[in-house]
Amino acid sequence: MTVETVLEVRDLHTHFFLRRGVVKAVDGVSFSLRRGEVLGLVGESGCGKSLTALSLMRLLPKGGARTIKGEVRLGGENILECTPAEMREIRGRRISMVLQDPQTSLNPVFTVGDQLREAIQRRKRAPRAAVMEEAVAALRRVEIAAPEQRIGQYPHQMSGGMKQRVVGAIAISGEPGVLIADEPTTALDVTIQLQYLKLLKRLQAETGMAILFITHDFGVVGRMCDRVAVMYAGRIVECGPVRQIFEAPQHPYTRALIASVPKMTGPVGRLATIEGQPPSLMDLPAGCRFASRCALVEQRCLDVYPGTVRVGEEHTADCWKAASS
Amino acid sequence: MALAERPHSTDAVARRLSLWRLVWPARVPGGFRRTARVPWIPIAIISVIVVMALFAPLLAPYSPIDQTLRDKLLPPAWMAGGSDKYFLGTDAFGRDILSRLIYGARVSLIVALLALTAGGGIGLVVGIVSGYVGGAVDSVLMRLVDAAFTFPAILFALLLAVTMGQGLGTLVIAISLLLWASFARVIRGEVLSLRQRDFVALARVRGCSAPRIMLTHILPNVLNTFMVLVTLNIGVVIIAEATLSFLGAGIPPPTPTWGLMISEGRGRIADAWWVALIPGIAITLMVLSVNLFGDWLRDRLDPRLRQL
Amino acid sequence: MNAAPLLRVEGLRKHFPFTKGILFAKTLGQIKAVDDVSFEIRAGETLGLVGESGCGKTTTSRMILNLEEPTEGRILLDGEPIHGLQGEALRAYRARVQAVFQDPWSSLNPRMKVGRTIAESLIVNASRNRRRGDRARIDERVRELLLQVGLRPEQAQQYPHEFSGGQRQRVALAAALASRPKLIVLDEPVSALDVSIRAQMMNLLKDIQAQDDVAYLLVAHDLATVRHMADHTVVMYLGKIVEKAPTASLFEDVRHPYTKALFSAVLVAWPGQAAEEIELKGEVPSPLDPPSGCRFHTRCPHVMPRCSQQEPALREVSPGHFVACYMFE
Repeated sequence: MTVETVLEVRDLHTHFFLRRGVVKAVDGVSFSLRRGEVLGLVGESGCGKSLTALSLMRLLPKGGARTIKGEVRLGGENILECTPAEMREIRGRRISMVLQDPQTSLNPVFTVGDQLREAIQRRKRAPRAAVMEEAVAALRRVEIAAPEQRIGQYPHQMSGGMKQRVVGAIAISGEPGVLIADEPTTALDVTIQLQYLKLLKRLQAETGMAILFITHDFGVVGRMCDRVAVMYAGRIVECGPVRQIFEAPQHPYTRALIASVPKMTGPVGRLATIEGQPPSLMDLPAGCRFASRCALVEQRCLDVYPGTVRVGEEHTADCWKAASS
Repeated sequence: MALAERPHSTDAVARRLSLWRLVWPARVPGGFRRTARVPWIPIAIISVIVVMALFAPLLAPYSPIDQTLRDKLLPPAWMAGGSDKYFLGTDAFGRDILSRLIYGARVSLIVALLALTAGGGIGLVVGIVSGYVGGAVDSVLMRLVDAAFTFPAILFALLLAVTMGQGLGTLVIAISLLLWASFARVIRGEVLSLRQRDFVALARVRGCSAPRIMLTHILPNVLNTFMVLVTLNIGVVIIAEATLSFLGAGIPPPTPTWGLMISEGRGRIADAWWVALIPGIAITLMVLSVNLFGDWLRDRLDPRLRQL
Repeated sequence: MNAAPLLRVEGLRKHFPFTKGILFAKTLGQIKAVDDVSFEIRAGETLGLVGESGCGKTTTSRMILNLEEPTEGRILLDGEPIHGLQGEALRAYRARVQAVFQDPWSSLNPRMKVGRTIAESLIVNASRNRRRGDRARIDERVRELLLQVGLRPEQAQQYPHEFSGGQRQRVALAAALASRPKLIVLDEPVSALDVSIRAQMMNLLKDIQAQDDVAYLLVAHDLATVRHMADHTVVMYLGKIVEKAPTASLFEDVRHPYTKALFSAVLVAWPGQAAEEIELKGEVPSPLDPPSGCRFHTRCPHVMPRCSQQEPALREVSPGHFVACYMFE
C-alpha cells in the first residue's frame, strides 16, 4: 500500500543573517507528508518549527531570513525554485496556512464576506452572486451558524473560535492539497479547541488534504496526528507514528519532553524536568545538539552528530543510543 | 539553481560586506538585515551648530552688533564685489553676517533648550498624571490640552510680547505654551498602554503608592518617548522662534537671531538676497538635521512611535 | 483539622456597568463577571480555580488582590474583611497577599534591575517606617530569594531583557515571596512557558509551598496543571461556581455536565485514551445577558425544563464535593 506523497522536504536550511552572526534556525530538516495524513511538528519555542512552516510557504520574515539550501517538493516540483509569480499561484491553491492568532489573521476593516470573496476571486472570475453563494457555502462548511448573516459582519463582531473558523474557511477555499496549521488552537479555550480540531478532521476526511500541524501541546498531537516529528535546535530529532512516539520514544529529548507533561491520570508527584537550556543557534555544537542536557551523553555524542537512525517501521531518531532496527 | 549560487560560507560574506555597507547600505546579496543607518551628516551639522553656539565669542570674526556703515550690503566673498574681510557678506548696517549667524545659533539653541525643558516638562508631568490617575483628573487635563490645541499660539505670543515686552522670557513662555499639549497627549497615550501592563498591577500589589508607581515604574518607561519627542520638536522650536522674531515678537534687535536676520533682510531680497537667504539656509539645515536625527533616534529607541 | 480558613470569600459579586457614550454615559446593562461566589483557602494549601475565558476567575483573583472592589460580598483574611482597608492596614494586607501573573514579558518593569523589583515590597515598607539602616538586610534577603527560586545572586544586577521567560517567572515569584506572604495568587503562572520549563516552575512552586507554608490560589485553565498542584478545585462557568471539591475526589468523580465536558475536552496525550467525548455545542454566552436559570442550560446535553427557570444551588453530593445541578437533587 503506497500512499501518494504530496510534500517532500529535504535538508532544508533557513538561516537568519544578522550583523552579529548567523542564526541557524532551521538547519537540515527533512520530512514527507502524504495525502490525507496529519503530521505533527512538535517542539519548544525557538526550535524552528514555525520558521520551517514559513520556509515551505516561502514567506520568510523580513530582516535577513533566507533559505540557503534544501528542496521542498510539492507534487514533484521544487517550489524553492519557483518565481515569486509562480509562488503566488501556488499559495492558497496548492499549499495554504492557518496561523495562531485569529485576531491578526483577519483584516479588521473588511467584512468576513469581503475577505472570503477576495480569496475566491483570486482563483476564478465569476459573477458576484455566484461568489457570494460560494462564500456562504465556505462558511457553512466550517460550521458557522447562520452564515448568511455572518458574512456581512466584521471580525470584531465574532468570537475567537469563530474567527479561527473563518481563517480556516479562507485557507481551504482554494482546495489546497497541503494545509499548514501553525498552533491554530493555542489562543482558544479548551472546549472551543476541541470543536476546532474535530472540524479540521472532518474537513480533512472530505477533501483528503494533508495537514502539517505545528504545536507544542502533546495533547493536541495525540488527538490530531498520525505521525509526529519532534524538533530540537533546528533539526528533527525523532519522527514516527504517534503511538510509537508516545509509547516508546527513542530520542532522549522526546522521552524527557513527554515525561515533563503533567498527566490527567496516574500518580501525582514531582514532574520530570530537562535541566539546562538549548544551545545558541548562532553557535551550535559539533555533536548532538541535545548532548549538553542529555542524561545518557557519551564522548561520541559531543564529537559527532549522530545520523538519522531507523528504529522501527517509519520511525527514525537522531541518536547514537537509539536501538537500530 | 538559484539556490546554488547563493553564498554558503556566509561568515566570510558578512565580514566582507560590513565595510561596504557604510557606503552602500541598500539590500545586499544574502539579505543582511537593514538597520537604520547612523545619520552622520545630520549629526555633523548639528555638532557644528552647537560648537558655534558654545564658542561664539571665539569663532566670530567680528562683533555681531557693531555697525560698519562703510561696508554695508557687501555680497559674500566669492561674488563680484565681495570682500575677503566678510566671508558671508554684510547686512544693511554693515554687520558681518557670519558673526551674526554664529551668535544667532546661540539664541536659537538657548530658546530651544529652555522652551523644551519647560514645555516638554509640563507635558511630561501632565501626560503621566492624566494617563495614570485617569477619571475626572484625566478628563479635565485632556480638555485643557484640547483647548491648548485650538489656541492661536502666534497671536497669543504677539499679545504676550505687547503686554510683557519683548525678550527671551516672553519667547520661551510663548513657545512652551505651544509645545506642552502635544507632549502631554503623546505621553498620556503611552502611559495608558503601560498602565495595562502587569508590572504596574504587581507594583500596587507590593504596596507602592500612586506617586511612587508614577515615579519609579511609569516615568522611566516613557523617557525614551520623551527624548524622541524632544528631538523631533527642536525643529518646531527653532521655526517658532524664527517666526516670532520675524514678526517682531521675539528677541528685540540688535541681538542677532536667525529669524530676526531674515526679517531684516526681507526688504532687500531683490538686490541683497544673501542677507535673508543665508540665515534661511541655516534654519533649513538645522531643522532638517534635527528631524533626521530625531527620526533615527525614534527608530532606534521606540519603533512603535512611527506614526508620529 | 478544622482550623479557621486563611482566606474566606463570601457571596462575592462583581458587576461592571456596560456603558455607551462618553460625555453623558448611559448604562446599558451590567456585565456580571462574578456572581455569588464563595470558597475558602486554608493556610499552606492550594486552591485551583478553573474555567474558560470569561468565567470570572481572573476578576475573582483581582478582587482578592484588592485591585478591584467587589459589588457585593466580602473577602476575609484571617477573619478580617479586606476591602475598605486604608493606610497601614492596607499595607499590612499587601505584605500578606502577593501575586504572580501569566505573562512573564509584562510582569517585570523593563527599566528596573530585577534585584530592585524583588526588593520593592521591602523597600516600600522600610521607607515608610523610616528605617534607613535596612539596606544591607534587604540586599541579603534578595540574595536569599534569588537562590530560593534557582537563580544566581549576581543576577540581581541584570535587567529583565537578559532573562528567558522561565527565568522571568522565577524573578516574579521571588518578588512575590519577598514579604513572606501567607497567600500568593498564581494567575496562569505556567501557561506561557514551554513544556519542559513549565514542569520546572511547577516543581519549584511545590517546593516553596513545602518550605514556607504559603497558600496558593491557582487560577488556571489547564486541568492537568491543577491536578498536580491543587488540594481543592473550584470550577467556574459564566461567573458562577458549578462544582467544587477536593481535587482528588473531583478527578475521580466528575459530576457537573460542564465539568464533564471540560474534562473530555482536555486532550489526553495518549491517543485513544479519552473514554467519553463530549463536544459542546456553540460558545459561551455573553456575560452581559447570561441565560436564565442554570447558566449552562443552553449548551448542556442533559438539559431539563426547570434548568431554564430556576438557578440550581450548590449541593453537597459527597463529603466536601459540591455541585450546582438539578441532576443531583
